[in-house]
Amino acid sequence: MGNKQTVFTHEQLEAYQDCTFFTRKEIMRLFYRYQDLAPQLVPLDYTSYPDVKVPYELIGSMPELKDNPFRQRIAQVFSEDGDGHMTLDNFLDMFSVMSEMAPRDLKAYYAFKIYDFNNDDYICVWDLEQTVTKLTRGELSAEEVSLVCEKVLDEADGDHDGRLSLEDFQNMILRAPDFLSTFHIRI
Amino acid sequence: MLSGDQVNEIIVEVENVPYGVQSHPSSSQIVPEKTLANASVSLVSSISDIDVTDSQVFSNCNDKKRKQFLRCSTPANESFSQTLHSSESMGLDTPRTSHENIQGQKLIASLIPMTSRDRIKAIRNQPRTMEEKRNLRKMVDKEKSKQPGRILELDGCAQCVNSISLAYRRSKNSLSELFNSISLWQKTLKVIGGKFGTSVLSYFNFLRWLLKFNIFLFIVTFSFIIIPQLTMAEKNHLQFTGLEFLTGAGYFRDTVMYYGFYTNTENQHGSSGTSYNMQLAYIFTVGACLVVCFFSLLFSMARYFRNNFINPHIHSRGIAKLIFCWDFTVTHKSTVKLKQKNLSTEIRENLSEILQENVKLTLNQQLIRFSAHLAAWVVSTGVTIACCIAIYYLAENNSEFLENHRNPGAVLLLPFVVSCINLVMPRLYSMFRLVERYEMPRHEVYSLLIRNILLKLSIVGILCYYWLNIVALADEECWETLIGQEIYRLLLMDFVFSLADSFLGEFLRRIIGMRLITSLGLQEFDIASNVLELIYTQTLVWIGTFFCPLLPFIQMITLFIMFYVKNISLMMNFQPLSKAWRASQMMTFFIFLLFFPSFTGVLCTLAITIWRLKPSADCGPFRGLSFFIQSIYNWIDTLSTSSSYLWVVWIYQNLVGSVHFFFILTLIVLIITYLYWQIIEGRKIMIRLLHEQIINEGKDKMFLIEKLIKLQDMEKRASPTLFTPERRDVEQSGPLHVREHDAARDLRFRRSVQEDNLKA
Repeated sequence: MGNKQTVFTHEQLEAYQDCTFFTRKEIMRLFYRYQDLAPQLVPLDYTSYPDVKVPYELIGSMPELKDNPFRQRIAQVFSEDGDGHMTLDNFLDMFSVMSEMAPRDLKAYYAFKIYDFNNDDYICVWDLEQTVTKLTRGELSAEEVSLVCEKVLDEADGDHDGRLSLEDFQNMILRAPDFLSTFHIRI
Repeated sequence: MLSGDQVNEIIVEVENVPYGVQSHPSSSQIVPEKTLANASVSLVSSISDIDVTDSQVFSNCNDKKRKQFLRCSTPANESFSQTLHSSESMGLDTPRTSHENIQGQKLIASLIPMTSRDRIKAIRNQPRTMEEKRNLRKMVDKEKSKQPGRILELDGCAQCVNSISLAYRRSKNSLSELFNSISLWQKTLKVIGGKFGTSVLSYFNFLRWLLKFNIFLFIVTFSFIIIPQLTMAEKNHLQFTGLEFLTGAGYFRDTVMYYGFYTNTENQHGSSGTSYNMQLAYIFTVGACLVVCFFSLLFSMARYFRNNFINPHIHSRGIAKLIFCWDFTVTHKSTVKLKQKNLSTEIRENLSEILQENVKLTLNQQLIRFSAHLAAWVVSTGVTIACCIAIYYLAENNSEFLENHRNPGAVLLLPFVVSCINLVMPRLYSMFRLVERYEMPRHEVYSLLIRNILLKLSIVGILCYYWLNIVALADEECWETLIGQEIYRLLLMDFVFSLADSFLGEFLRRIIGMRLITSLGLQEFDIASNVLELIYTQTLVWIGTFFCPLLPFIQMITLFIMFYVKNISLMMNFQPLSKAWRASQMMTFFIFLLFFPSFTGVLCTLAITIWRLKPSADCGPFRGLSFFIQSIYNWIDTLSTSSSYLWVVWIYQNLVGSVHFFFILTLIVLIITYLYWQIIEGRKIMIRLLHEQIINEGKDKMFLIEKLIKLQDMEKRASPTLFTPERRDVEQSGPLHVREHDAARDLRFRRSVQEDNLKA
């Protein structure tokens, strides 16, 4: 059944299979989802490696992402230039990392990048405030938000430098076994 | 102005020094790079094509073209990724090309000697973009093919192994594709997860997992027990009335459904060629099913424990978990809003808890609380014991009751009472909440669970006791069939009650919550009690498979229907959970429950049956024997007469039947357990020490940064003209009056400048 497809060459599909956690069928299914987002933009023939990017607005309107408070950050983290416009590679990468087969460390790495709003490789107080604001949608007052950020740093900051590094984040994730199942987008 | 390369090299060199002087832990953290590869080798050149200028190097990371590789520290057990990530253990603001080349080279070098399976796993786990992974894969393949000498060294055997593993991997892929295509209810689960979140989804996943168990049980029993019996079926002389579906008796008594129908016709067919030893088939099938279930449960439990068992050497309040474990599976707009609101409430509660944490209770209050807990436990245990006694009394007098009331539906009284108890008691237990006060809500959930478990398993236990001690020894005509029928009725009544609860109870609750008392609102899905219900029915099924081989089939249908009923009821009558439900920890606990009291209880019951009880004389395949296990003894005896199967006899006599063997085995297992326990203790101590070390080094870093800033301040004030232009560029890009969180980066820059000074 998979041999009849003309979208990818055999080597391309093999490469995708080896580089993501998806089987061939799932990769094809994901490709068609990608193609449905922008049928005029995305060609049905990827054998010539076309350079096609689906703009962020279309990505963010996918049903799996459209109500997620972090959809913009997710798209930014996984896109080529950090602006949210994604190629097919980025798209597959994103859903591969967010699938249930990805290991905890890989997910923790990308979760860290998602929560790192200013891209300075540390989750500082400002990043935390952004995260909390997005999570609570204005329900908490400003003092509560800063109190929360302070408490989070108290709990998770291992080397006490006032911000979370990747190690601190991973350490904290180790103590939150739910992370594996919640950091998961089903497609 | 220093040339790009020189700047790179300096920064690289300095970068290594601070990490090198740290005493790095052996187990998990970064292994620093000590060697500098030739920067001109660009293996992974497609990763970044930036011009390394000073400003880009030192500027803040706003450059989107740059791929930023954070240090990935990995747990100790992933040794291969340790090597991989060690090659990425560079800092953040180092020049890209040379470092990535070094990284890429090291990475490729470490990937080449791996087996293809490990290599693919390593490539997949890399936190890189697709293009980089593809190139990595291509590079590794190219490098591998460029080593002809190595390949020639692999003799035919290794190549054979390689091709076999490749074929195995391909077949595993296609098999998993097949499984995914026939995987049940994928879309439904996605909708449930989207609307209610991961926690409710865990219940449905558990249901699906139990369904797989039952499908397996059914297939095995069907192939090995039921089909052979069907071929030797005798005609059923009983009449069929519709009541059989409820009572399980009547027409069904003489069908393949119950043990009593089975015959061991080995003797009959003995002369005409093929004979089927139903005794052995029965015991071995049931045994094989149980063994497979045992290992499956064991491995699932081990996997869950490994992933979810946390060793909190630091007590964490959990606010960080609330923030960072947002449920990404939720896709429904209203659910997202609701979850956001609930999260705010929980955060507020958590904050107030933290603020009140230091409030210690007075002795009086502690005493009151303790006595409330004690009273609640005494009452709940007492109620459980009372229920058990009631059921036992009822069961004992059931036979007289049945003789007095000739109504065939009267046999349903006992199952009815049991189901009523199962329905009412949990509600009673949850009312204890009004009296008891717990410090942590988690304790409340656990104590409620334990009470419910005690209740349900005591009921099963008392019934088993009754069946095995009274019914089996009561000299009835076909006691195994009777037990099978009892279990069937219990399951059926439970199913009916669940349906009624879903259709009527939850529906009524919704009407009340929405129309009459609107302050109540919609109810929330009680995951714990539903999962306990599943465990209870599964326990009954496991026990009952011996007496009623068709039971897995019935349970299959039941679970199938329950899935859809629960799903529809969920969508109509429930709202998403307001409190965070620790799904993974709970699932671990539930699977542990399924294994430990439930499955081991089943094993004990069946062991007692097979070893101690006398089969009925007129029905079933074991008729005529004095014990069920006698069939195995007879088989061994027959085998010992034939010469080609003496090894089986030897195994039986020396391994299975010998006490010395088990003694030695137990001793070895105990020794290994003790050693592992000691290793774990040692690792715990090491974790604590490492944690303290991290804290100390953070403090050191802060101290050094402050000192250095002070020194720089003094130098700058003393002689501002001494600074050469390039250093001023450096300074301007990394200003002195940085915010504290840039200070660490500056540390490296300052040191680089000093190194430059030393070199010059």
